[in-house]
Amino acid sequence: MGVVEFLTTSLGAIIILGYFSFIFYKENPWSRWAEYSLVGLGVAYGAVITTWRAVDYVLGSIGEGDFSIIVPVILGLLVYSQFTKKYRWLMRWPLAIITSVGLTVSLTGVPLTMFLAQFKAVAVPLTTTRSVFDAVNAIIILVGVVTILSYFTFTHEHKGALGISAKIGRLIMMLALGGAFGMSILSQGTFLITVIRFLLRDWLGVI
Amino acid sequence: MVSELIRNLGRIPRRVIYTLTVIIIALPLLIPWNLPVSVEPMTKTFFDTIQSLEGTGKRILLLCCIMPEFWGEARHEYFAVVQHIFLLRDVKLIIGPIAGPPTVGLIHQLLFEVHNPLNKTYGVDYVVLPLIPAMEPALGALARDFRACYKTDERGTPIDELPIMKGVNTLDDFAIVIWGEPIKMSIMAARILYPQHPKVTYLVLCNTEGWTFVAPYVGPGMPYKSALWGIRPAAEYQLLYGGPYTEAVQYMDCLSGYHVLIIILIILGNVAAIAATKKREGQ
Repeated sequence: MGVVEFLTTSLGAIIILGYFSFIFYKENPWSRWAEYSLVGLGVAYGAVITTWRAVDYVLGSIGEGDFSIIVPVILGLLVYSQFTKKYRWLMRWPLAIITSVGLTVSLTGVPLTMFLAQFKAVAVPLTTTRSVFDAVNAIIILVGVVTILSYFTFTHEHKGALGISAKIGRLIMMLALGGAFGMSILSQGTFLITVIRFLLRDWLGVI
Repeated sequence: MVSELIRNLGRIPRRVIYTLTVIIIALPLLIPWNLPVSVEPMTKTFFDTIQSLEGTGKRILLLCCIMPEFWGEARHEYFAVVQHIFLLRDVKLIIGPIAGPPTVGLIHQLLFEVHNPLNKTYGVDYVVLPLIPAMEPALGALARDFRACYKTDERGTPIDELPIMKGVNTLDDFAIVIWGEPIKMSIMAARILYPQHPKVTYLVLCNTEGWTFVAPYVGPGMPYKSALWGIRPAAEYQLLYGGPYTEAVQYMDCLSGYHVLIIILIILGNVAAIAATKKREGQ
């Protein structure tokens, strides 16, 4: 390992140990320094990359004679009007455009992907499933959708058949939420494995 | 005495839990357990979809938004997929970072570290496009007119001068589009890209936490044909193409140990909670 590599690896290790000092001890200057370093570096890096990409694209377009790019540039610059009290209202224009464009672009695909495709997935004919497990899954999904929908039916009191269905729906929802939480724990474990491996192999060289 | 001990299980100090976690993860790294890893059908589908392009000269577009906080987990999927594509003969890879600026640096790290056994040439076999720092509008623009979104590659070379980009105008010119993002933007991509270009095969790389949200969009008749969602599928994938990058496979022992510990802690916590409830009811 060269000197530069050792120093950068050690810096990484010191930051990681700073975070660990938070969980094994309590919040302290070391852990705060580690946290602020990550946030500061991330923001600085992002600002540089994004600015240069925007400048490159704008200059490239103007160089090709496409002056229409000036309109979004002006709209983008209006975001900075928030720093003046008098012209702060101008910031609403770019925000309104960004939000409306985003929503429009996103919503056009909603009927196909969020409704039709999902309906098709719920109503899978059992004869088309590849295995017994797939068939059981298809039944669970169908029962889950119907019972969870019944749980969110508020126009009738949850009694009798509707009450039983709502209870099953709640149970299935709890299972799903438990699964989602389990996935989150699993994900965090992976991060910890990566970090411990970094400390043991890349920094200490014991594995 | 025993009932008091059971109730106290719910009050194990967090430092003890963290120490146990670190030990259980570090142990298999020091002394590997070599537990077997089976390959799930979804990972096989992902692998077969990419493998089927060998020798065809077709292009794969990897659109991705990677955040450093998720890189620890996501890197294994990216390494596995890019490594596999590099191992294939005559398959081209175009990488387009979207939204997150750190994606650019992480893509460079990936290309720097991943083994390139066939010595693929930049601009001919693979290329990195510049970052598009936006989300829905960027995806909308890519779906509408892919070519108009890029004037140069990430190094500043005009797109028209790159052999790999000859004949690429829309998303339909790619055999496969792989969307890589840790959590919810994958759903956004499914909503925007798939309806406008339904003939393209879409695959997704997300992380374990995001899989809960992305899963309803993956499978037959869904926008995404298949997915890799975390370290376990990454390990399966690495086994399928046979390395040389096999870091995720080495992590499987740690992950199994970690799971066992978490399950034990959940059981202990529940036993303690039930005991405490019973005591309250008894009073």
